[in-house]
Amino acid sequence: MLSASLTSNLIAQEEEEPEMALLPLGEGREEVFYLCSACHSIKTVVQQKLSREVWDETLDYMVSEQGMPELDEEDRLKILNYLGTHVSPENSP
Amino acid sequence: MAKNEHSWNRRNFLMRTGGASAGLIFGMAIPFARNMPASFVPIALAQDASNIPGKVGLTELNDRPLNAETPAHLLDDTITPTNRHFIRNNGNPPEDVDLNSWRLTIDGLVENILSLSIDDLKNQFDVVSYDLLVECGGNGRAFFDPPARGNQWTYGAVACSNWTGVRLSDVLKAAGVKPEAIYTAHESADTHLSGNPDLQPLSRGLPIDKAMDPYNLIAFEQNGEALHPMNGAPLRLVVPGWPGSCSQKWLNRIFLRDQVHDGAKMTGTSYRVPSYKVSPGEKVATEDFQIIEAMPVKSLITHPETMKSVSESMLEVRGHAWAGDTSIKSVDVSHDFGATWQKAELTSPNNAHAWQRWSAQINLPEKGYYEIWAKATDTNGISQPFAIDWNPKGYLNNSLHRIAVKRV
Repeated sequence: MLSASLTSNLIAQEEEEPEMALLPLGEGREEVFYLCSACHSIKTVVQQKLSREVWDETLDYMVSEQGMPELDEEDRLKILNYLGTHVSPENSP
Repeated sequence: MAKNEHSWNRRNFLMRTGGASAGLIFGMAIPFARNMPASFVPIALAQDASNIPGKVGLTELNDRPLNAETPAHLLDDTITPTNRHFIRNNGNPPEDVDLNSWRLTIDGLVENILSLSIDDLKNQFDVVSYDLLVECGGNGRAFFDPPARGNQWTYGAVACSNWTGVRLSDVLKAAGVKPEAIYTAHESADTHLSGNPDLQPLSRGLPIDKAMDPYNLIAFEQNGEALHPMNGAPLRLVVPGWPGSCSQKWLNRIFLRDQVHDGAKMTGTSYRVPSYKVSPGEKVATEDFQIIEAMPVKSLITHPETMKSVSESMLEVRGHAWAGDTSIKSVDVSHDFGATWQKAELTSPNNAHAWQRWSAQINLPEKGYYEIWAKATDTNGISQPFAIDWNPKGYLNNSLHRIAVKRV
């Protein structure tokens, strides 16, 4: 069971960023949150259940057509791994 | 966060309206409203998107940008009420629109550049009203396997409201279309989600022949009232039968071009399907995609609501059917997984490009689980398929609509 102070910390964090709760825990969660929610709702992300390959294309499309900043290789891989694992047909939130 | 996001956000809406006036939304008083804490979301509101001002019962797919569809059973009206018309936004809608200062510019390859106020449109052109079908090109995407990216619309990104405005063709004729013009290009006052002023969220266009269809409207009223802010107030195009994206909302410019328009979401794979049949999941080169024009034949069962229990053997089933640039010849329904079909009663459309109502009395011979399937056939003899004609971007799903009914 969570301690009272940890619970209130979590609640504080969720209240600050209520959409964070839509993303399952995992490596790259915060990077995905801050990258994607800069422009659009996280609901846009989690309503889709895409393969890693289609997420890969989607990241390219976001840069070439939708004004997303180019990511360095390490961040891009982290974000792609997260989406391809946690927001995929097999494993959707 | 943009200011309009505050005004269209559930929490802020409730904070603004307060618990007591929230009672107005339910159509009844909330006796203990004064006890409701600030920013409290009543259960009755938390379960659907009826917190979108001026909309009732829609399912919200996302809120930034706002996209919401209508459950099939709430589309039962012949003319879709404004509060049940779906919302498909690509960017941030304009705020504080002013009816009096709004201008529509017609330029590009025209003899006379026009700058028209909404009063100019009303005073200088025939004002007409039609029931016009608008369907999002991605309606039904949620059922694609493998999944396709984009909003995961199920059935309800479609509507047929009564729209009032002037004919696009009359306005283009007044501007004088130069012979070399082959395509329109539409611009609007919404802004790109990234905040980059050099990017447009959406700028679609039409081949001149389609643009001259007398049923395309530059519309300023929906169902006899001003447009809803999320449906394009104060001015929009309504281009029935083609993907909804052709019906630019918050319209402020149409320019004519001597090439296929290459604005936002006209190029690449946006609103495009492969020019040949592909297998599900197949990789398709971008240059093999072609622009979607007329939407395919389709139908919807709007009564009863799926998963309802009935006690009588006779059941009235009804809905609508429509087909891009043509109309519907027949609708057949089945209650035995497609083994047998019976013809439904079918009405004529109120005008070209309106959907058509159909209804059938179905006999459910014994207690148990049934599926009702509806299949429309257009005047070219083309019927809805059972399976999805898969394409990489998840467009044009016109597979037949199925609902579940339990006889108890």
